[in-house]
Amino acid sequence: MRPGHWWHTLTLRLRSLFRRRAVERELDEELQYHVEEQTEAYIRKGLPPREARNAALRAVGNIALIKEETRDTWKLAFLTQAVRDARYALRALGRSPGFSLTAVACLALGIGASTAMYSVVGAVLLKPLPFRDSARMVRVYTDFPERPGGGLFKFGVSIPEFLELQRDGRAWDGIEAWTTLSANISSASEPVRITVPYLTGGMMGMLGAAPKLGRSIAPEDAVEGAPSTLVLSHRLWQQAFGSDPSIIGRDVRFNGSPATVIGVMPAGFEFPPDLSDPADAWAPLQFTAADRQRRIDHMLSVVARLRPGLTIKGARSELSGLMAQFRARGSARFHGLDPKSHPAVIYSLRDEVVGNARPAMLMLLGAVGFFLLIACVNVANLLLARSSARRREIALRLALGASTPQLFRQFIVEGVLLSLFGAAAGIPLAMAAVQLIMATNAGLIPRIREAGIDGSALGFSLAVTALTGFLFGLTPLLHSRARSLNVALQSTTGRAFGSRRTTRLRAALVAGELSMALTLLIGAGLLVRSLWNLQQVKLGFNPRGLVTMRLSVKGEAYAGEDRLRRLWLDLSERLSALPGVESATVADGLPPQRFAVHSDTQIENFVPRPGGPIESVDFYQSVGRRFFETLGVRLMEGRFFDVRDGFGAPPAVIVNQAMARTFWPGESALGRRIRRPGGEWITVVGVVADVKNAGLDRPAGSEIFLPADQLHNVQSRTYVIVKAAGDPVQVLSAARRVIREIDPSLPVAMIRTMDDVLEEVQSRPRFLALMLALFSALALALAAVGIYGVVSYSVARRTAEFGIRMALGARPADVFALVLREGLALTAVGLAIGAGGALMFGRWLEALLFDVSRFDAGTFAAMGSILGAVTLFACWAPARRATAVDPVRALRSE
Amino acid sequence: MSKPSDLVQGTLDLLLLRLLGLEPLHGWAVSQRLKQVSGDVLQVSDGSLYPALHKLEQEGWIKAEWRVTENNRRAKFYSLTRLGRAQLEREAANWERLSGAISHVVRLEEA
Repeated sequence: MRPGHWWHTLTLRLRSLFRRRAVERELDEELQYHVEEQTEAYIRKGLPPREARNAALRAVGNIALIKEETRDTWKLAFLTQAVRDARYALRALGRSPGFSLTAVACLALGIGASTAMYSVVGAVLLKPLPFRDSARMVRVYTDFPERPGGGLFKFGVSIPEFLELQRDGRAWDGIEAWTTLSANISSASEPVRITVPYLTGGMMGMLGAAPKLGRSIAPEDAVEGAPSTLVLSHRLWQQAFGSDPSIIGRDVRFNGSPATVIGVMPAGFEFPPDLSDPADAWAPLQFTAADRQRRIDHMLSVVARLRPGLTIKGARSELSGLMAQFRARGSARFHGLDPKSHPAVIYSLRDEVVGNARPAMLMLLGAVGFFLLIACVNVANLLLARSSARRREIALRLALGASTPQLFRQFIVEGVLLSLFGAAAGIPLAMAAVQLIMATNAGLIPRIREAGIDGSALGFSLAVTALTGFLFGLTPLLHSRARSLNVALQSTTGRAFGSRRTTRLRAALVAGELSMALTLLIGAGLLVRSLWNLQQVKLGFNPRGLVTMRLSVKGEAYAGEDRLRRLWLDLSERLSALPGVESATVADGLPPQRFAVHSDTQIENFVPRPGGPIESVDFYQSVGRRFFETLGVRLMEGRFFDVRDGFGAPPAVIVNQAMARTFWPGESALGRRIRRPGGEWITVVGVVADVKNAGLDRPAGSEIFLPADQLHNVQSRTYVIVKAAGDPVQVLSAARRVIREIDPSLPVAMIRTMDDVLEEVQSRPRFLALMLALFSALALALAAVGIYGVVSYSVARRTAEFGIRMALGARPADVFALVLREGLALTAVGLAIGAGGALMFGRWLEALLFDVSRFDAGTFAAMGSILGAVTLFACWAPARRATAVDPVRALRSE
Repeated sequence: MSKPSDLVQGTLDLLLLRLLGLEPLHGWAVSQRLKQVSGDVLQVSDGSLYPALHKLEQEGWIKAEWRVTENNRRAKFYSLTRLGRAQLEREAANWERLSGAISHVVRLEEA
C-alpha cells in the first residue's frame, strides 16, 4: 500500500509539472463546477438566473488569483519536499565528514578525469568538422597498389588526374584541391614566413567559409593569369597587420611579387584541418597549361563532397565504374588513373583528419572509463561500510514509521548530493586539465584546438553524475534486505556490523578494483616500454650539440641558381668558422621528420623482376658541405663528398644502405650510376648508414644525397644545421648574426635544437604513457585505500574471534598471517582478473605499441608485483592491529 | 482575502481532512458543509479553499477523482487516503493539545 501511495504522489507531482495543460483544464473545470453549483443554490433561494450567476461569481472571488495560488501549491509541494530531503541528506553527510570528503574526492577525480577526456576525445572524434555538410566530405587519394614493398597508398593526386575527376566524376557535387607551400610575405615591419594552402577556386565556397572581412577566394581568382590575391587568417591579420580594418584591397609583397588582400577569415577557421602548423593565409591555385599536362607530380590534396544520400560505399562503387571508363578510354598512359594499377580512392574526411590519433583517443577513453569505474567502486565500498554502520539508524527510522520508499528516496538524494559535490569539484578540475592539454598540445592531437568543456561535455559529466548518484543511493538497500525490523534491531544490540553478504560484496568490489588497477598498470607499463624502445632507436646520426634553423630563400633575390648555391656555401663556411662551432652545414630536409617523395629514378642496368623493386627512390636530399660529418652519419663504404665533387666535376651521389640493399643486393654500390628521368648519369661514390628520415618508428626508406655544390637547382627549402662544441644555445645568437650579415632580409624560422626535434617526435607516445601512468597511479592508490578499508573492517569485525583464538593459544604471528592471507586472497583474485583484463585492453593498445608485444610477460610480471607489493603494504597495518588485540578486553566487550 | 484571518494557520487543513474523512466531497460541497457544521462561524473563502485542497492532494493526504454527481454532472471528488487518515489523527491530537492548553490559559486569566 505504501509504495503505491508513494508512486501515486510522485506521478501526481510529475503530472502537474509536465502535463501542465491537462492539469490546468481540470482546474478550470473544477472552478467552473463550483460557480454553477453556487448559481443554482442562489436560484433555489429565488434570485433570477442572471443575478444568481453574478452573485455566485462575486462569492467565489478573483478566479485568476485562486488559480495562481493553486498552481503555487503544485510547485511548492515538489520544492519543499526536495529541499527537505536535501537538508536532511546534508546533515547526514555532515555527521561523517571523513567519509563525505573521501567520497567527494574520489568522485571529483573520477568525474573530472572522465569529463576532461571526454571533451578532448569528443572534440577529436565526435564533433563534426566545422564545414558545411562536413559529414558528406571525403578525401580523395590515389593508390599505387602494385608498387614493390607493399605498394603506395593514399598518395596525392596529380593535376591532370584531378581535372579528370572533376570533369567526369558524378559521385560528388563538388570536388576541390589544395596544396600547401611556405611563402614569404612582407608585413608592416619585416618579412614573415607563412604557411599558405593554395586552393582551387571552388574550395572556399564548398566549405561554406564566410570571411570576416572582404570576400573569400572565388573561381575567377583561380583562372590562369588572374591577378594575384590573398586571403589572410585572423591570426596573421592580427599579428602582422595590427588588425587593420582597411587591409582589404591593399597590395602586399607575397613571395617577392605584389598580391592583393581580398579577405580576412574569422578566428577559428582552419583549413586544411589536419595541418600541424596552421595556415596563415590562403591563395588561389592557378593551373598553367604545363601544369595540366604534368602527370608526374602527385602534389594535390583533394577533398570532395558526396551527393546527398550517397554513402561512401556507394561512392566507391561509382568511382570504380569511373576508373573502368578511364581505362576503356585508353587513358592507360604513364601514371594515368586505372582501376588496377593506379585507382583513385576515397575515405571519410573526418576519419582522415583524426587519422592515427584515433587508437590513442579510444585507448584514453577506455582507460578513463576504467578509472571512473574504480573511483565509483571505491565510493560504493565506502557507502556500504557506512550503511552497515547506519543499520541502527535505518532500523530506528523504520520503527518510527518511515516508509521504505522514503528511506529509499533519502539514500538516493544522499548519493546524488555526493555526486553533485563530486561534479562541482571535478568540473573545474576537468577545465584545468583540458586547458593544460590544449596549451601544451603535448600529444600532437589533431583538432585539439576545438576542445573545451562545452554543452556536450557537461551533459556527459551530468549523466555520469546522475547515474553514479543513483547507483550509490541503491547500495545501502543492498543489505537492508533483512527486511524484518526485529532482525535489524536485534542485530544491533552489539556493534553495528554488516551481514556476511555485505562483506562478501565489499570483497568482490575490492577485487574488481584491484583488477582494473592492474589492467591500467599493465597498459601504462607497455606504453612506457614503447617509449623507452623509441628512445633507444638508432637514429643513424648523433643529435648531441645540434641546432637547426629553417631559412626561406624564395623570392626574386635568389632567382639565379648561382646565387642560391653561393648562399649555401656562404652559410656553411661562415657558420663553421664561428667560435664554439664544430661544423655547420646546409640541407633541404631534416631528419627524422621528412616527407617521402617516392621520386622516379633510373638505375643503370636495372632489370625489373616480378615482386622486385621499381625504379623509384623514397627520399632525395640535397646537402651542403660537411653534412655527414656534422650529423655524425657513419660511412659504410666509399667516401664522403669532398673537393672532388665541386661544381662542374663529375656528378657524384651518396646513397644509404637501404638504397644499396634495394638495388644492388649483395654487391658493392660504388661506381653504379643513377639518374632522374632525362637527367645526366650520377655515380655513386659512397654508402652511408641509414638515417631515420620519416619517423623513429619506421624503417628508413631508400635515400640519396646529392652535393649542393654540383646542383643546378638547389632546393629553396633550406635548413641550417650547426654542431656546437658545447651547449648549442650558446652559439645561436652568433649564428643568427652571421645569417643577418649574409642577407638581412632572410627570415629565420623554427630554431630548435635537434634534441627538441626528437622530443617532438616522441611527444605523443610520451603524452599517452604519461596519461596512462597518471591514471594507473591514481587507480592504484584508490585500490590500496579500498583493500585497506575492507581488511581493516574485517579485522574490527573479528576482534572477538581473534581474542578467542589468542586465548586458546594462537600466537600473534598466526593472527597476523590470518589477516594477511585474507588480503592476499583478494589480491590474487584481482591479479588473475586484471591480467585477463589487460589481455583484452591490449587490443586497444596494439596500434600504439612500438617494439613490445602486448603480451609482454616482463611488463605483466613487473606490474603484478607492484600491485602485490602495494596491497601487501595496505594490509600490513590492519594485520598488525589484529595482533595487538587483548583477549580479555575483546571477550568482555561482546 | 485569500487567508482567512479567523483561522489559525494550519487549521484549515485539519478541517478539510476531518470533513473528507466523513465522506468524499467535491469543492463546492466542502465549502457548504464547512458553513453548515460550523454554523456559519467558519467562513472559508473559495479563494483559500482550492489552493488548500490541492496542497493536501499533493501531499498525498487526499486523492481526487472525477465522478458524476446526483444531478448527472462531472465533478472532482476528494477523499481521504490512508496516509491522510494518519495525518488527520496527528493533527487532531495536536489541535486537542493546543486548544486545551490555550483555553486553559484563557480561563486562568479570567480567574
